[in-house]
Amino acid sequence: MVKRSNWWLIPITFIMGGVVLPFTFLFIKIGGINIKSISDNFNIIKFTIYQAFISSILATVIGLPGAYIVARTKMNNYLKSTFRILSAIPFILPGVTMSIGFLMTFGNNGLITKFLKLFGFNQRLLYTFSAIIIGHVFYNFPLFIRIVGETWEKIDSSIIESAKLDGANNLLIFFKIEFPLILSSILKAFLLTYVYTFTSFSVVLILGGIKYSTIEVAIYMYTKILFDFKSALTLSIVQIISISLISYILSFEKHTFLSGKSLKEKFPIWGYFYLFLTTIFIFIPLIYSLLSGFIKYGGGFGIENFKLLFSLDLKRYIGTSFQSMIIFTLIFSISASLLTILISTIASYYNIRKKLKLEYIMLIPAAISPVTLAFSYIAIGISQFIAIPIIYSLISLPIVFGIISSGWKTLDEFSEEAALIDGANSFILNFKIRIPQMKYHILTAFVYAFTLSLGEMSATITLSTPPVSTFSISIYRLLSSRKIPQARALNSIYSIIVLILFLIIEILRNKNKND
Amino acid sequence: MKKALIYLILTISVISLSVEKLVVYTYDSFVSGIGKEIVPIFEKKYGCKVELLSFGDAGTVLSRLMLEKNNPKADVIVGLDQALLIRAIENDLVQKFKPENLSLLKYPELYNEYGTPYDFGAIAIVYNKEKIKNPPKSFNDLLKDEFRGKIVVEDPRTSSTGLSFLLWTIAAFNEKYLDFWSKFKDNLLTITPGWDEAFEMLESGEADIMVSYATDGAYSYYYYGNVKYVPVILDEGAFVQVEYASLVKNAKNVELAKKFIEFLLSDEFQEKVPLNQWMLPVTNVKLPEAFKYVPEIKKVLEIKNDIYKNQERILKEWSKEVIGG
Repeated sequence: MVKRSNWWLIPITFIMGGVVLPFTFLFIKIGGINIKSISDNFNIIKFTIYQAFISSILATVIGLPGAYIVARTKMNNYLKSTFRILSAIPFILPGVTMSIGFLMTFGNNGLITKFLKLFGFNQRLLYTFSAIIIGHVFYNFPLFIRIVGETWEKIDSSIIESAKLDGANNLLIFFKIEFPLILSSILKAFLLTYVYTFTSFSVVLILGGIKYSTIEVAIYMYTKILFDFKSALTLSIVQIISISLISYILSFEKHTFLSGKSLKEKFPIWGYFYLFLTTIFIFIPLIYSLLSGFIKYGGGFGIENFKLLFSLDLKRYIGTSFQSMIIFTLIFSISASLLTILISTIASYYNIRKKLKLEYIMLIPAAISPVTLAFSYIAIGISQFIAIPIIYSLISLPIVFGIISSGWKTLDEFSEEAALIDGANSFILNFKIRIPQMKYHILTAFVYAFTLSLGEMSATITLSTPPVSTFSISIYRLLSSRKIPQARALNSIYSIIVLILFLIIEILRNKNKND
Repeated sequence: MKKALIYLILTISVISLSVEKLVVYTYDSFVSGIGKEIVPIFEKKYGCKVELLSFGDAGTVLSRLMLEKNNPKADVIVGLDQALLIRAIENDLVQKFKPENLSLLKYPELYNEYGTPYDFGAIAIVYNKEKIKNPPKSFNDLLKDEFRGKIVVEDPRTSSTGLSFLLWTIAAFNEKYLDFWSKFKDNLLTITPGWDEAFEMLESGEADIMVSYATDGAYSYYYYGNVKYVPVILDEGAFVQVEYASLVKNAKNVELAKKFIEFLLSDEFQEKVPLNQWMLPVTNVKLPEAFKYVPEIKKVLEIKNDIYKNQERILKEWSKEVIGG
């Protein structure tokens, strides 16, 4: 064990300096809060909390069987890899891309709608409360596959085998042995889902029809339409409090060590049914979203959009050359990802090994709308070159923290102690023992942080001034110049990059397991 | 070598100091579009350097100005519409200015002493002509049963297009606008956070009618050679969105800033408005052929200033009626 350790101050300082301080500064600058905005938006606040709960519960119900089949069954390897890759992507898709996918699947002329009509089912799925929930499950159930699945896979098979020898059935084994071991992961995924659905915006407005709205919409209205920063800040504070409170209640870490290989059961019959359902509700919209770049203006499929994109004088529309746009994007996203991983590694170490309840603090950034955060950075006068990477890093912190935490749990403390007895210093401990064992988690975390940074739009637009331009701003600028086909093409390129990145981690992961 | 470098730095700094620099804040598509074309012309004409800075949309630019109020970096702000201009005046961010070439304005009534108009356009209802055979001509037509579930509008709380449409209904119905919305909401398929999502719904055949702009037809003709989505200005009259350029209060470079605003009224700039901004020019310049697909504005509906000042109350009333909370 590392003796003198005050390293936990680093993540605390990062959150304080990156979120609390700028917020306090904004608070002073705009002269306080407006309590009335809470009562004015009471119904919206209630609905926000309600839908976040329902969505999180449903994402748990849908996510857990998925986590089970990837972690504990003998599923065909290619099928499993495809399932894992596809289920990872919705989470990082931008709102517009997602909505195209949903419209093409469940809309008027949607594939599923047509299919259901064959059976005489004419009920509309979109523009209802259920549609919001489906959208939220679509976005967030991947978290369960990743976070719960990773832990589940590490439950030592010998524990389960011995229970079986004692005559326990699968259900009993699940509730008595596995459930307690994966509970903290379930809660972590549940919390993240709660946080992300709480701050949801496009899904609620587009899929829910005219009747529903969330706090995030109200914050946006106060900030960007009414310029009532006091009310916006008040609601942001309500949001932060609701989220940290629930995460404080739900967060706990049980001291468990899991690093075995789980027992693989026969692929269950219901597994096929499950795959069928997830294909319909999640993968079909996803495929459409990914292919949206190939949908021509005015209908039909083709590569016209890409031709238009590459024949366009891009510099004119995106404010910088294609090359420097890529360079800016890479510099911002990579530096943000490295920063997030560093902070998360330290924070989750203390959370898991030292039982410091840092978890709910790490979730705070997710509770803040990036636009409000961007405004507070402008108010202080922080340069865009520093502000953008910090905001990216804050945005990805909650999920990266979740992934790295699973990593810490799979580390064998006994081998660490043995190494220390053998005279290993903390350098050897970290670089020879910990990092090699956690490399897959670190890599996964990197891909998530990187893709989330790549996709961030609202704060980047608020902060960046020429010559800075990134991938996401370029899409936005093309859209706002009405270059819809080109924007769609660029968006598909973005999605394909993401797809490739997840493919790479999947390959490395399989390689890692075979080593 | 070192000496040479110092000389070089000195010369560069002397040159850069001697050239005046004008800072203009505007929205993204202005910089990438018309800005790219006209800035070099202006720079050459006045021997100065123009820095066009954009921060997303016009609303974001205004909030940036608010946050920099005590120490403004901008000399000119380009792109505020009526609603935003009133915010800027209320917050004491802009100053009065009367351009010398103001007489060039085709519609003098568009001028505001705090803002010089440089283009304008009308909000319109746009329909898919392959699906809608009997398009709506008036607000009351929009309430017809045949359009039930076929219309999308942008949320006025998150979209400037949506807000303009809400203002249009106020201009048409005055105090009774909520009566219109209480019936209209039954015909709405959904509301979207922005223009893009609404357009996606029209494109994917999910909706047949959306709120957009009168120049949509011209745009589509110009780029795609056909007009599938046809704009209509409703019979009650047009709601016109005017875009202004204003002198920032405590601007450092007032003289050059004035010249820049006056330049926006020149033919050199105005001729480029239609095909770059997809708005109508404010002076008498020739319109390109594609603009024959822009419906004629027969009557302009006026909105009282206090409506703009009471946006918060209006948005609240609207959410109560439409969202119910």
